[in-house]
Amino acid sequence: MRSLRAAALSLLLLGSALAPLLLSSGVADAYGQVQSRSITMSSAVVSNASTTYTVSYNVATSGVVAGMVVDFCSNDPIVGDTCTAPTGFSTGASPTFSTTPSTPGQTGLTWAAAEANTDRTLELTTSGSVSGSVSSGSTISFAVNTFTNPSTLGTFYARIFTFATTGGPAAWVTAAANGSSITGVIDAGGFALSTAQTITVTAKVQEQLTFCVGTTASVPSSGGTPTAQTLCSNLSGTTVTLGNTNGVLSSAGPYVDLSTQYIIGTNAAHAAVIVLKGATLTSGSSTITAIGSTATTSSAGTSQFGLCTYVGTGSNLVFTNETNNSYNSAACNTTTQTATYGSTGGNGTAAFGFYTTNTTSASGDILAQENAGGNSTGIIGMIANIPTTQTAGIYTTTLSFIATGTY
Amino acid sequence: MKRQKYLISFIAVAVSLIYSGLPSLAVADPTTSLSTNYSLQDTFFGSGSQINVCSSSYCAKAAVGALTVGNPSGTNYQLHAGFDTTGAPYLIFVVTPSSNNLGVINSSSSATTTGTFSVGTYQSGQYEVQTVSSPPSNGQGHSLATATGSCVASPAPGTEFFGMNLVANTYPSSFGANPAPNSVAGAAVGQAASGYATTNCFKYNTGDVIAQSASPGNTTGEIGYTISYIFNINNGTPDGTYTFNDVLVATGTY
Repeated sequence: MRSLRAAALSLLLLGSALAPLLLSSGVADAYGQVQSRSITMSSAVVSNASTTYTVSYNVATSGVVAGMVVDFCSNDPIVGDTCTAPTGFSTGASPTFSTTPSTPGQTGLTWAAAEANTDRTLELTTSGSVSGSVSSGSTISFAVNTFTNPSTLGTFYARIFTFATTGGPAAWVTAAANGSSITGVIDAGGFALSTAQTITVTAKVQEQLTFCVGTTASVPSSGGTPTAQTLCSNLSGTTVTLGNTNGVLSSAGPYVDLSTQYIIGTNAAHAAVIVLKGATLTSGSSTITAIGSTATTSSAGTSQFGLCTYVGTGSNLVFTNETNNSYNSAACNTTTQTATYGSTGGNGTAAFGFYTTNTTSASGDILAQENAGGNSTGIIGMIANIPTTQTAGIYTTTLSFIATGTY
Repeated sequence: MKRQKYLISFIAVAVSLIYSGLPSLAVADPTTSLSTNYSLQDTFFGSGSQINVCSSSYCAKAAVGALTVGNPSGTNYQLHAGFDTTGAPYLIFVVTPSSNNLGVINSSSSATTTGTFSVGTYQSGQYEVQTVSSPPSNGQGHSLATATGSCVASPAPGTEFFGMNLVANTYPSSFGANPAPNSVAGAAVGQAASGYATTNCFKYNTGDVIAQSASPGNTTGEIGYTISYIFNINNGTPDGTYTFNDVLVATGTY
């Protein structure tokens, strides 16, 4: 009786000890789980083609890595489960590396990529003679740029398997096309990925042209230079008086006026052009001779009417397409104010022009060009000289300035 | 005879003691304990458990006598204990589809709008969200200027600029919002990434990480993010319809 009790007790103890072994003998996890694993997509847009997937993970089991499989599934990332291909997903018929696999500590192998399971699975194999191996904790990464994202929004999954032989991937595919095989797997792990909508923002920018011309409220002092204005509200005047304090011209020398400015800004991709239209100073049948298309310096005692222009402020005003550079005297900025004051002069070393063939035509004469960008201010210097034989009278002209943008 | 019986009993007891000390080695799912303030994934301390107990027809998670269950956490740690935690990585990434039309914009004032998305991932997993789109373009070769390095504080109208951030702003007016959990308060953590986390300061660089999980890791909740966009143009900004299709990519690390 005692012996039976002892035997029964022994059997009971032995059975309870063996129970854990029995419970664990189902599907044994004979592979290591890769860590810090991720798959980065270059785009999360549904059905996006030529998407790059960058795979990265830390090796769990030290050893040679000669083959890898990445299997993409719509159902779950669990290693050993069957795998259903995500709708619309493709590895590409001929997957191409944009970054070949890095295998720290291991050299000698050349990697190749292929698809399997009708573009559901990425199969990476090697050729060559291996030297060294990859240590546990080392990072392996690679990128393939031929993926097409699933055609459905939301989460999908991937599983990675590593093999010690180049034949490992093929054997894995052969063992179970549904992805449930763990034949020959050294390490494995699951990933979750997701396609997503996009956020679209739209804003409209209109064609823009800002242009104004006028005279400043504050005429420069005698012998002074003007201050470039940046606000059209500061160019409110419309008259220029060439002459002395009484507006009378002299054969002794020129009178120069610097009160006229123009402000222009545009986003025209092909610039905005300012043209000048109008006749020379005229009194009845008498005129003060327009200088012409060739810029000419002041000549006291001769009949001259003309103007020049220069940049007051801004960086987009150019004068490259004027006729003979009629108004683009480089020394225009040496002029000073004498008009409406007692003394003649103010011409500095500038040259002036006025080409009536163009200014009286329908299209006018090009004065300046504003390229796209911030606003610019141009300053106009007008000059008049008369001979002693100039017919007395009140000489006037109306000048028009027209800006045209080409977008 | 009596001695033999006792010997048999002793051997049986000894064997049972030896084996009862080793079951975790035979059944434990292979795991790696992470460092940097520690992290355990799918590690089971106990007896009689298996993540995948499978026959030919089914698989199950088996547990006998789990020592600890629940979600204890503190300021600097978080733990999911118990055998009923999910073993599968997951990633929830939802971008609220929106088409924001700012209409005609001008150089005298800034134009702003917002977009939203949410992210949730496997318990202790990490995630990053990138923006991978090019800056707004008129489709005729001009893209709005951006700040690709440091963010620009209070970008002024009249100076061409496009930028974004993921926080609440007061410039040029009140718009945007800080990251906030979508589900149970405090159940999820996340943050705007560096460069996109400063109020009233904006930048944009294609490929930048704009949001990420916060240490020690996300839990089973979702974080909602609000992207604040700002548009400025100058008088020279070429005309056209500027479109920005913000493609966001979420990557989980498990």
